[in-house]
Amino acid sequence: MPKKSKKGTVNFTGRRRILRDSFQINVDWSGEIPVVDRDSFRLVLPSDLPSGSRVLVDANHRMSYQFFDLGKKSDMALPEDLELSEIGHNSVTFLIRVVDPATPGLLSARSAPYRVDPPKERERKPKKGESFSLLQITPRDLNPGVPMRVIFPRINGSSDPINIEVNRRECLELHDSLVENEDAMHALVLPSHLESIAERLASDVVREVFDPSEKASRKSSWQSHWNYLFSTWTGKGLAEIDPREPNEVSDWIGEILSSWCMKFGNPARVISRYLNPGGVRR
Amino acid sequence: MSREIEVRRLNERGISRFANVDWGSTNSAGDPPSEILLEDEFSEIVIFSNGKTRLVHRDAGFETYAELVDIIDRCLGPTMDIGEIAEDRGLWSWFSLLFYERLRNGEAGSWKKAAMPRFIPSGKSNSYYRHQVFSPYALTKMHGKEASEIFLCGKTNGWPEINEQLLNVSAFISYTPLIASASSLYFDKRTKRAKPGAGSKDGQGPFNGEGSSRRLRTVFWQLYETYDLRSMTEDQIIQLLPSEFDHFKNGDGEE
Repeated sequence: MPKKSKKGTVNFTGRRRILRDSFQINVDWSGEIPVVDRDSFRLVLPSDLPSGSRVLVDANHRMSYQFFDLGKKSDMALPEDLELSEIGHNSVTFLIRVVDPATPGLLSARSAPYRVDPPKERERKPKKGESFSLLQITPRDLNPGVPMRVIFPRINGSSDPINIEVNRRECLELHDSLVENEDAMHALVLPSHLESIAERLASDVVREVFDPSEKASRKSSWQSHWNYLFSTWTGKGLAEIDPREPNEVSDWIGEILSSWCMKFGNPARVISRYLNPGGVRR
Repeated sequence: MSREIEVRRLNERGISRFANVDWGSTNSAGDPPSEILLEDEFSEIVIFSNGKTRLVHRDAGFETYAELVDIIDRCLGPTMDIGEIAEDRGLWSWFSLLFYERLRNGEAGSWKKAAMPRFIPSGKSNSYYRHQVFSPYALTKMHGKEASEIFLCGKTNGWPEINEQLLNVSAFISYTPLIASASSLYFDKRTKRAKPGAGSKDGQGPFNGEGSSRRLRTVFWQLYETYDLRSMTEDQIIQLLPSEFDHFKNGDGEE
């Protein structure tokens, strides 16, 4: 029996899309309460929208919401108070909506959600004794068509991080998304990399490149650091399994992935939502 | 006999210790590290913005999220500003450790699988709404108990499907008439529970998934494209819904 779906109903309401290049919204994050930047704000609405249309800008972060009423299209103006008091120093998703004056409740036009993130804290080199990075995302010149590759430290005993090199000529956006901790990109990319890292560790034990019983310290090899990290996730490192047994290694990797996925918060579902925005059923 | 203790927050060591619980189907590896609740090495007493601490009944009994919210609200006080505590990961982790046995399905030595973000706020946009103490409390603070009743009627040792489907939609959760419309559709005032079929998956349940909270989420996004939902009342929103929701619009979740 075919499923009923609202999407199957043809109901053209004439709602217009406000294109991304028709508006500019910036946020001044410098104060205690972030503020929509008045000077750089710009909005150009389709000329054929009624002059009496009401224009609003929504701002959303998780459960928090506020809006700015710009008045009617004919004499649009930003309100005096532009503080994002409900949002605070968090990523904010803006959405511009224009309400039909003739039919209250019906949108005349709407923008796509537009997200603005607060600036990251300036990166600094860790001081002695502080935490340090085990994994870095680095833009690189890769062979044409290659989106990314994993590069393990080449120097024996090095404590340098593993690098995920991303093709900077052809998909710099991927690098930016990963560095900015976009959930969907992490969910798509990291599981397979974690798997290859764990496999490499097991291989290095077999080749006697590193001793899995070595205690991790600031000066330990990158293998020891990762082995220690995985052991905190799963309760066991490579010293507790037989790295020559493919099934044991496979089971261990399975536990690593499950543990990471639990910490992440269900990357499979993140990917599903990313690929199926709005939950529209296929 | 209940004991009152001062509200604390877990520090990073405490959160890390709590996170090391086995979250899969497990035995005593899933037992909570309750010993860290009051240890200064793992937690600290919270001094709120009014300069005072708060007390909570350590052995408070509850079964539903509504009852849990009452306990937290009495503890934090009715004038607590949600903005002060929303991002306090250690605080909410401490609460969920305090009430662990009532929040996780199972018992000491035998636990069902659980998602860690339900106990330790993940900080991630895709799972922050799952925290079993913060989420219902925040919802109630924002929208009131009556509007939120469908999200509060479930038992605390599980995460209701309705909560999972609707509370992760930022545009939905931030507008009271939308929250109230979900309660109006799915909350049975007579039984004080969700109506049959409200949490059904696609193709399942008494109505083959039609009109369920999953479908409400899908239809919401479609309506969002066209209607100014934020200017609408609860009744206007419900009137927009297609006929598959008639089971629930008509009152008792029956045809």
